[in-house]
This record gives sequence, C-alpha cells and structure tokens, in this order.
Amino acid sequence: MPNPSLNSVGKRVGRLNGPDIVTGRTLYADDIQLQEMLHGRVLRSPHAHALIRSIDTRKARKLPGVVDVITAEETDGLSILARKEVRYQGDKVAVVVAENPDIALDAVELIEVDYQVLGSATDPFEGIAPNAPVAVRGAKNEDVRDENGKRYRNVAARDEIVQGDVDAAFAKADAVVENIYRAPYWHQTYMEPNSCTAQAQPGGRVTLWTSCQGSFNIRSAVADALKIGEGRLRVVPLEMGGGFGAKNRLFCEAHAVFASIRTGRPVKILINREEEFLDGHPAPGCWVRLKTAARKDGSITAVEGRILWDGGIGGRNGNLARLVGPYNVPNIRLEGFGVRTNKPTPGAYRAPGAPQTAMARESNIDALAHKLGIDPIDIRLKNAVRKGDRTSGGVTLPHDWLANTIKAAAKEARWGKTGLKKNQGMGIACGDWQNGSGPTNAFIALSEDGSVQVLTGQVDITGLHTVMAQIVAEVLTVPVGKVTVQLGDTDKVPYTSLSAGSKAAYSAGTAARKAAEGARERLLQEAADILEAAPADLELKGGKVSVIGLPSRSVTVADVASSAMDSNDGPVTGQWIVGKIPTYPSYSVNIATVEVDPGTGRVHLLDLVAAQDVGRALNPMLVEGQIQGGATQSIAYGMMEGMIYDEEGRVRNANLLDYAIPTAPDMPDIRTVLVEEGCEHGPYGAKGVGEPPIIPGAAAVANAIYDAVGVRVTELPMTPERVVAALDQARED
Amino acid sequence: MTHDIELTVNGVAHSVSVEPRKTLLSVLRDQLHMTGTKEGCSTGDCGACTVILDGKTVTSCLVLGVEADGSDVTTIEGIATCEELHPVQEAIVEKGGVQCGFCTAGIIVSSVALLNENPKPTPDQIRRGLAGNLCRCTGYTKVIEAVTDAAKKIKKPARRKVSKRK
Repeated sequence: MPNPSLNSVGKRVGRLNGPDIVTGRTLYADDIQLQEMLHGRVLRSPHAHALIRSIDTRKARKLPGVVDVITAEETDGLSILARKEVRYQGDKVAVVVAENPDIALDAVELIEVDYQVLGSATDPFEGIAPNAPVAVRGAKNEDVRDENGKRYRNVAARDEIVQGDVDAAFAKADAVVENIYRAPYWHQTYMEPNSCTAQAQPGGRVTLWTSCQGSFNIRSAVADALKIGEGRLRVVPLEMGGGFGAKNRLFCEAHAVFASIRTGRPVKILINREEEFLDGHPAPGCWVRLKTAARKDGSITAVEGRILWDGGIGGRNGNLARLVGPYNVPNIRLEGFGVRTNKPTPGAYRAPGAPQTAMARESNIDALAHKLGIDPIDIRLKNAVRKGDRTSGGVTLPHDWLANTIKAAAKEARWGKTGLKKNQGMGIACGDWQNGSGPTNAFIALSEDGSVQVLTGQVDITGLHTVMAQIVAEVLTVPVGKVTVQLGDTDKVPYTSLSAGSKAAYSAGTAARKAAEGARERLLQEAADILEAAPADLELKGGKVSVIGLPSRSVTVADVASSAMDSNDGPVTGQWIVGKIPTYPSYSVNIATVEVDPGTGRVHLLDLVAAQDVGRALNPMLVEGQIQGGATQSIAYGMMEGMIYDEEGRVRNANLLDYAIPTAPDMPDIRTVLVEEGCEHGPYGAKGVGEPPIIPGAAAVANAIYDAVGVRVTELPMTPERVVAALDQARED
Repeated sequence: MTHDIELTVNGVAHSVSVEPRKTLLSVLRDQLHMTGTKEGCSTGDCGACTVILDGKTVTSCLVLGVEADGSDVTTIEGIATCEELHPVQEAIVEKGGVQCGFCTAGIIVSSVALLNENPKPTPDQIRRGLAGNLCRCTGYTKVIEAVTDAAKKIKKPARRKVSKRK
C-alpha cells in the first residue's frame, strides 16, 4: 500500500538507467575493448579427477600470435592453476594468452597433457561410503564413523543441532512422516557469462574491469590469490548481466591480472557458456533423510534427520537450521555433512541452501497434514513462528509476519474455493530468510541547477540505484529525474560489501537516506543565511526552502545549491557510511496450481501466487519483478533444471539446450502479493527482497502434484519420468 | 585469409574484411564496435544476440560473417532513433521488463520483429514470439506486459525523447 505522504519512495519508477540498457549503450564487462588487448583462454581438465604426469606446451608456444602460455610452473608457487592433481572436469590447467581469441583457442588445443585418471566421487551419498574414492588427495576431513565404526570418506565438515527429547516425541506422535529427498547441482544461469579485463600499469598497479557483485570482494580475492597487496589493484565493476550469488566469487580475474602483469599488455578472459557450467559456482545439491512428527492437532513435535551436502572439492556445508525452518519445533536432532565431491565448490545462489531444504521440510509438513486430515494452510499457521517468538537467527519477532503472508497468499489464490478438475492440484510452501547488512556508503553533492549526484560503491543488481535515487529525491523533495547515481570503483569509494543476501537496498538505501538527510541539513543552513531566518524556522517542500508560515519568503533548492558554491561552508553535500544495521527475517509463501498428465508425467503449471513479507516496497514494480524472477527460478528447479554428472564425473548438459531454463511459453503470469507491515530498521520500513522469492516454489509444485495425483515426488527436478515412476510405484503399493 | 563483405547495418553501409570463421555477432561487436548485441551462449540457444537479417530475426552467433555479405541488418542500436525510444523500449523500462539487461537487446529486437509482422498479438502469441529469448531475471511476466502495452501504443505517435525519463 503506497504511503500517501511520500512522493518518490513507494512509487513504480522505471529503471533510471533503463534508456541506456534498452538502446544497447550500457557497457557490460565483455564490451571493454582496449588498445593492444590480448585474449586469454583457459585449458581445462577433461577428467573429474586425475594426476598430471606432464604438460607439454611447446607446440602452443610456437603458434604465431601466441604471446604467453602459463602453467603452474610459471606461477611461482601460487595456487591458481592445477599443479599435480585436477579435481573436477573444468579445473584450470593452463592459460594461453594470444593476439585474438581464435588463436588462443587453437593454442589451447595444442597443449599436450598426460593424465593418470583417478576414481571420482560425484554423489554425496555414495561419496561418504568408507570405500568411496578420495575426492581430493591430502585434503583434511572430519573423523565421522558409520554404525559399524568405519570412517566415512570425504566428509569435510560436520555439524549438528540437538534439542529436547526427540525419541520421546516420536514415541508419543500421532503421525510420523519420513522421506529421502535428493536435489542436484543447480546453475544460476545468468545470461551474461563472466568476462574480465586486466591492465597492468607502469609502477605496478593493475586495473581490473569485471562483472561482479562486489568490487572490493573481487579485489580481496585477487590479492589473496596472487599474494599482492589490495592497494595494487583497482577493480572497476560494470553493469552486471545477472549473478544471483555466483558473481560474489572469482572466475578468471586473478588469471587475467597475472597474465597482464607478465605480458605488460591488457588481457581479457571471457568464459564461454560451457565453461560457466563446468567451472562456475553453482548451488550445491544434497541428499536428505528427514523425519517429522506431529500431534493430532497438527502441532509439529519433532524433526530428526541427516543432510549430506554435495559440497564440491571444498566440501562446503550448509545451514542445518533450515530443515526446521520458520516453525516452532521443540525437539530436534539433525546432522549435516559437507561432503567433498569432484565438482567445483558450490557458490551462493539466492538464499543459499534454502530451496533444497524447503523441498524436504515443506513436503514432510504437507504429508503430515494429509495424514492427520488437516488443511495444509492450517498446519502451517498452527506451527508458524509468531510475534514474540525467537527465530533460529536470534531475532524476537515483532509481528505475525509469516502467518499474515500465508493468509494473504491463500486469499489471492482462493485456496479451497477454486473448482479443480481431475488431475489438477494446489500446493503451498513457505520460506524464510533473514537479510544481511554490511559496509556501504552514499556520497551526495548538489549542482547549481539543483540536480543531485550520488556516488556509491554498492553494485546495482536489479534496480538498487533507482531505489537510492527515489530515497534521495524523497528527502530533498526533488523529482527523481533530478537525481543520478554513479557506481564508484575501488579507487573512488571506501570499502563496500557485496550486493548479495538481500542486503543492498536495505543497507545502501539506509546510507542514501542518511546522506540525503545530511545534505538537507546543510541546505537548510545555507538557505537560512539567504532568507535571514533561523534554520529551525525553515521547511523544505516541493524543491523549495521557505520560512514556515511565510511561503512567499522562499528560495529554490537550485538557488541554494548555487549560492553555496561561494559560501564559507562550501557546496551542499551529504555522506553516510554504514557498518552494520540490525536485520529481521522476511517470509515468502507460494501457492502453485498444476495439472498432471498421469500418462506422460508431464506437469503443467497453471497458476502461481507468490506472496512476500517485504516490510515496505520502496518500488513495488521492482519488488514484484524480483519476486516473479525468483519464483520462476525455484519452479524451474522443481520441474526442469539440474546439472547431470555421469559416472566418470563429467557434466552431460553443459549448454543451454540440454540445461534448459524456462522460456516465456513455459511460464504463466505470476501473481504477486506484497505484504507490507513495516520493519523497524530498514529504510522507510523496507526489508531485503532478493532471496525469499526463490525458496518455496519447488516445494509448492511438489505439494501441488501430490494434491493432483496423490504421489509424492522426492527428487528434484520433478521430471515427467520421475512423476511416472512415482505413479507406477503407487500402483504397485 | 579474409573475405571482403559488404553489409548494411542500421541503414549504414559497411565494407568489412572478415575471417571465414568469424560470426556475424563477432563482426558486429569486434569489428564494427557495436556492442549492444550480446553473446550469451554462442550456440543459438539464448537469443541474446538476436538481430534482424533481411527482415527475419536470427541468432547472430549462428550466422557467419561471410553469409551476411550483401545483407541488411538491424541491431538494437538501430531500433531507437537518435531522439526517440521505440515504444517497445519505452514500455520495457516503464513496466519493469528489464532487470540485469543482458537479454534485453535480444528481447527488444524479437519483440519489434514480432510487432512488425503481427501488430496486435495476444499474450500467448507474444510468449511464442519470445520463445527463443531466454531471460533469467524477470520470469517474463513484466516483459509480456510491456510488449502488450507497446502494441497498444504503437498506433499512436506517442514517442518520447531518449534523454527524457520519469
């Protein structure tokens, strides 16, 4: 609901840089073209796991146009290229630097590598078996044992949550559900493959242009990888063609910087789509066994289980509390393993780990509801965290945010009131995410014509700068069109954290508001001199400062800004640096309506309602867009997406034909509901909105399939084959 | 070994010397320095590199430069006039049909080609018309809304200056 007292905040303002984007003027990382620029290309391992016996680069070096060939040998002890062991298909073995990309490609094919192929672990369940192949030689693993005392393989990390008396709760339960769920590696599949260009300068500094979610993060990571000081690097972030968490981390930036330092010329490295799939930072898959107990009245009394995260070579673990989710559960016994597998270490993908765990948690809750004869909405309302409850993130809730979001979704979807036909069904699922906050900034200066220039280090991922402009315009009472926002590189602004974890608008929006309030104070002070009145007697309204009660005694913002240029205190400016701000969780609820063809197993999504507790929408159009996009990604994980690894650990679908993502005809219009109940610390009551939309979609589809045809599909994606298999199984049972 | 080709891009004639393995996309981006057309996959699956070639949309990553000899090409840079956005461009901004913007050039080129052939498409026809253009950010809802809106406005001469914004 728009707040009538606000002029810019809460309005459906189109992207301020939209005209540049829609005319093709906006520069993305691969659009950078420099004089004398060289092109780098990476030679990658064709094997999931192998030892390198030898590398012969002689033929490649002789190819005309090749300027440099870099292997581990040339890196002086750095760990940016494989030395003795390649650990996944796509692991980097060498970099060729050449006069053009085609020569670089030709030269890569001339490098001869002698591999000794080793056994590989590509599935977390099989990968922990005591006799499974070792995924990474010499890696430090946890000593965790099976029931026979045999040590599990490849367990890089282990954690647990133990609370209450789980066994007693299961003994007393009226209904118990236990299922095993599986989810595959899931690629963010942003449309822009990563590209970066490095230019070494005389004196030792290097400028790096790249597509990233945080320039300072990239600067730190490159400095670490190359063992150089951060001050030697200037990282210039460009408009980002999608990241969803993957572009928090390095692709080939360190390699481009290293190659540029060696050659003394600018070096561009473009990752192609196949390389994105082989050596990106996709979301992890997992294997989950989850057992949930409830009483007759629907109250969930216990959760017990184990999750094995498919953790890639880093064996990355996840957040175990997500298996409990936004519900009050007194008795918990959960165990989580981060399992090393011969795949690239997973990265962040919008609400990392939440969609996978929501699939298991929300499916079990749905199954309990059906067993007990309780409406799936009611069982969630019964157990939802409420006002006064303390969340797993340590926040005491001031409102019934989740319950109100469930009710809003049910109302929009006309839950229980729609006439569903045979083989049609509706399913609901919920998700929660506590947004982050982090160091960020806003610097504001007013020009003589009253226009406002804002500088920030916060990368704009889906309209952040437009929202910052709306906030600044609101405070200074000028039209949004008078405000421009520029993204500063690491030489121009102080340390700024990632645009990730739903924190950019929350944190940088706060910086914009506080900086604008500072500029406003300075504006009133300057106007007080002009109007010969005390600042306290002045008001700023509609782009004018006037004496309260004497509207004829006024001066425009432009006149004040102009006059300030010659004043003793100088130009009108404002600035604010944010460190951390307290944050709250936010909630998303999806209700999916599907039709299942029992003959083919094909699931057709008829309707999707996506409700979200957003605090306040700073720009409802942009918020709706994020919700629709996130929900689509989750639905796609539910129905069609997943990386397929064969028995040798090779990716079988490393292109956009075989790794299909939704096209326009695949999707219905997504109906969004914004629940706006405010939030104490966010700018104008806003919460972060980017992560929650992706959490519940897959689980909502799973529950809708059950409602439609009475079978529970427990492996993502829920392809026609799996739906048919589940139907066949049900007939046999 | 290169081949000399001639092609018209956005109404301007160009003579280019191209290697036989270079794609039309590469000719546009690397030789003519028109970087508005994007490379998303290089296998013809994503549609980010869509251009209009002799009246029909193509993925320019699957057309060789030499094949485009003698052709008339329209790219994203040729959709707006210097002063005015095309109604599709305007609607994409105003209706929130752009997020990261990387697929946007292709989506706009495909939409303009669709509206040239079918000025009053239904939402389903728009969805089919954009089936070759992947977008990962929007879920398509607002893109379809924008193209529907543009189709309505296209009859009226309601164009807006490029520099103006709301």
